[in-house]
Amino acid sequence: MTNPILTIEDLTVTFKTQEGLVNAVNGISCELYAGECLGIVGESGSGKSQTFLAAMSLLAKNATVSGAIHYKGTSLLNLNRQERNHLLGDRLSMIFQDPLTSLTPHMKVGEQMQEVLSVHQNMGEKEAQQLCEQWLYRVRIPDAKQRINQYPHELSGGMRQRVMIAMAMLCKPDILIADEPSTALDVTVQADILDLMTEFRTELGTAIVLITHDMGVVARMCQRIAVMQSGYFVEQGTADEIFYQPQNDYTKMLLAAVPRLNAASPTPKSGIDTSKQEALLDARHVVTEYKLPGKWLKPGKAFRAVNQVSLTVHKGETLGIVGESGSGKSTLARSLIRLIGIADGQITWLGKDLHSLDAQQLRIARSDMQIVFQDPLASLDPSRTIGYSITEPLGVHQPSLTAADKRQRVMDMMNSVGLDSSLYTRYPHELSGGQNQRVGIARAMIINPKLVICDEAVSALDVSIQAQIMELLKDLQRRTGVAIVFISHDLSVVSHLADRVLVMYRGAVVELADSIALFHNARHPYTQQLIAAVPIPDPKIESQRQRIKVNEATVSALNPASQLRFMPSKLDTDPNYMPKLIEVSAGHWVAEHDELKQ
Amino acid sequence: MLAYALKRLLSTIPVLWIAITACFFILRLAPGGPFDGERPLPQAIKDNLAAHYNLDKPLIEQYLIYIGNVLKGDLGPSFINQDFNVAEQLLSGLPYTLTLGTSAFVFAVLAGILAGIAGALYKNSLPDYLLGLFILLGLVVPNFLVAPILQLVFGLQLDWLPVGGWGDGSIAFLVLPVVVLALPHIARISRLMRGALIEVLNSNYIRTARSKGLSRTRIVVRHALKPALMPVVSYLGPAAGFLLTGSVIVETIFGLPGIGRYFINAALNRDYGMVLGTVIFYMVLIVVLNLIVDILYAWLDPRVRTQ
Repeated sequence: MTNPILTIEDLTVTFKTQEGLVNAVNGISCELYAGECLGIVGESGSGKSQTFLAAMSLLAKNATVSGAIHYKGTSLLNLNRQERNHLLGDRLSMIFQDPLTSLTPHMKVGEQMQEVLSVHQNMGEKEAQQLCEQWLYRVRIPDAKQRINQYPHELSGGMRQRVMIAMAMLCKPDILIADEPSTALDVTVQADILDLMTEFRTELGTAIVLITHDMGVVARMCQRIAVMQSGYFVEQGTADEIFYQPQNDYTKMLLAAVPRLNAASPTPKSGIDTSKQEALLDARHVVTEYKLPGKWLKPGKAFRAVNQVSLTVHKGETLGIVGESGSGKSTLARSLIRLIGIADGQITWLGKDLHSLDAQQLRIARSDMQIVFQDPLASLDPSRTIGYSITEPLGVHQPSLTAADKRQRVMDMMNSVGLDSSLYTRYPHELSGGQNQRVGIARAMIINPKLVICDEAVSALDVSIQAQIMELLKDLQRRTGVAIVFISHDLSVVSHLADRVLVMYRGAVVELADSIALFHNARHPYTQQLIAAVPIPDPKIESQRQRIKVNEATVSALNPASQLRFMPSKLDTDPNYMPKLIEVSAGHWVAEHDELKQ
Repeated sequence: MLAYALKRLLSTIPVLWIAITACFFILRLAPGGPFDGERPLPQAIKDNLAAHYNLDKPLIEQYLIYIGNVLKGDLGPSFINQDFNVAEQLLSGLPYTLTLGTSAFVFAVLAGILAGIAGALYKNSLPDYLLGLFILLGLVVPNFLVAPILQLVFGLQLDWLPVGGWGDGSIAFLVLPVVVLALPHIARISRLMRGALIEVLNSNYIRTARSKGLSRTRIVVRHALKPALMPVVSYLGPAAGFLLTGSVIVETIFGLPGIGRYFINAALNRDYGMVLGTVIFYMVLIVVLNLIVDILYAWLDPRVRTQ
């Protein structure tokens, strides 16, 4: 084998904090070779980012680094600032997790790219602009000529990440460090970004370090993998070794915890035959609109976040709602329990029209419907104890209970969601993300609701915690018969929990089917594309998978014609046409679409 | 950008109107009038004066007449100082107040921003601590104390600068009043600047800029400075207002012939025309300054422009 391009030897990173020294990285060693993609996997706080921030000298000021990092024989840790700046952005470059905040907001995209060329290659403005344009084309940004003069806030998250990649690649670096490059993005956008990185690796020979928590992404991208836990590499090896013969217990646990889209669910779902169950909630042609700000005196247009959605939630079942960001899933969830008003349609809750109930009746109805939110910490009152937060709904809905009764109920509930009773007097910031989400679930379940809506309830959690919370939800459902509406952008997660799945695209339903039918026999091109974009944590399967790409979205979501992305034949005759849902087999509904070339 | 500025300009009209109206009526509600001297005037003279200044008409009619005149650009007569009308008096004091205020403003902004940048770049080291101490002094010591101390040290003991007065209008006469006037604002601006710059330097996009191998100077100047200026800029509008109205005390201590003393005399004497005129003048000034601030904002942050 040739010489490694980057070697890390016995690297430790220590942070000096008010609570004393914190060891983020504890003596790790690894090598990176030209043209390969090395995956660094681990859960949050495992030190995977810090390792490579150290290589780039981007650590916070309170960090001390020891050990050695060599790039082609040059010790990166011993360079002075000038020598280091000479390498950074030129030979080594980096892209980050959050594309929304990683570009300077007041500088045009083009300016930010050009300065890399002017600093490292002394390139003139004209030449630099041309090269930047070429790179923007190369990362498949449409209208690169216009985009180059736009500010970051005028681009979508996916576009900004493409700009980041183009900017990192400008000088054709030897090493590209990608720190969770696709985590904040939709699956289809993630797939595009990953494809781009692979393309640069194979065509330009750029070595890639891919830092991620997502086993699926690693399986798709990496030849070698290092698994990291609390600052140590617990296991290093080729992709095949890690996935098929993991030696370390933590690796095994991580692999077992990852939800797989392709695998059958390990534990049964509610298993309820929905046709025989009573309907709890029934929505007919629900429309929810947001007013957009007007210009001058003209009133703003209305944006249809939810467009003619009909669905039924039966007693005891789990209905999954999937869709990409902006598809209207959260708005739909909030409309379903009247957290926001609807513009049209009807929602029936246990036979009553939910949106015409008065305040008193609504409060009674609310005691049967609860919601669990995405960000567990932000959704809890920081100034209240855990016990108080869980008790509060009892005080509202069952005021007759005595304090002792309430406390007993809360203790029982905490026990059943796996929270130690000693946490009763703690505050949210003292708990971990997983524990806080258990609090959120306990708070929702304490009044024995008939329906719980989980709005991205596990999305912010590490995979191992995610798996635990999903088990908890299944367990609660088995014991109490609560119906769950489970909203997520993560198809793998939904495939594990839901009996039926509803797929949303730009506010409308494109497919609704039994979970197994949907994931194994998707009929709508959008669903097929979504499923194909989800990385599967299995390198062999990943290497053989075909990516499905149907015609790109071209019109703004504000345009009614955006609904016709999958039915372009109607564009000329009736641009306001709304594709209808057709029942292709029992319980399997698919929106009208054209036969599209893939 | 032009449309944005125009829109903001139009939106200042109702603000001005409300302020003038409020001032007009509050002033009239206050007890006493311009002709209530220690020695009561004969009723006939009072009536004549009232008729001359339209004070005998119903209040609402007086208000309409006043608004009408203001729209024509006429701030009306002074009730006390009959030899000059309001506009003439304001104009005679204006050059002094404006020179003093503008110099203090420019000085405060430049010194404040530079001190803030230095504080942020040398965070928690000696230069930062020294600046912090100076800032604290600037904030807590009132200007009527700073002024005499500076007068004593630089004017009398060292004899470097004149103690007061306008003299021939040379810079030497301006130095002390400008420093006294600007000091608390230097302190505030540098604190804002330091805090904002420290925050910006910790942001994700600065990390990106560092990963591109840019020099420290380039990162600060091109990537960090503009966003860090935002809180400073939003303070500039009020600061300019303070500097112009706050010059009343400084003008008095240093014996400068600015607008400040007219304002105080007019308020004490119920000189309706003069008080209203001064208020309108200051208001227009502050509104215009705020407008400039808003436009600066749009220049600093492209996201503001599209809103």
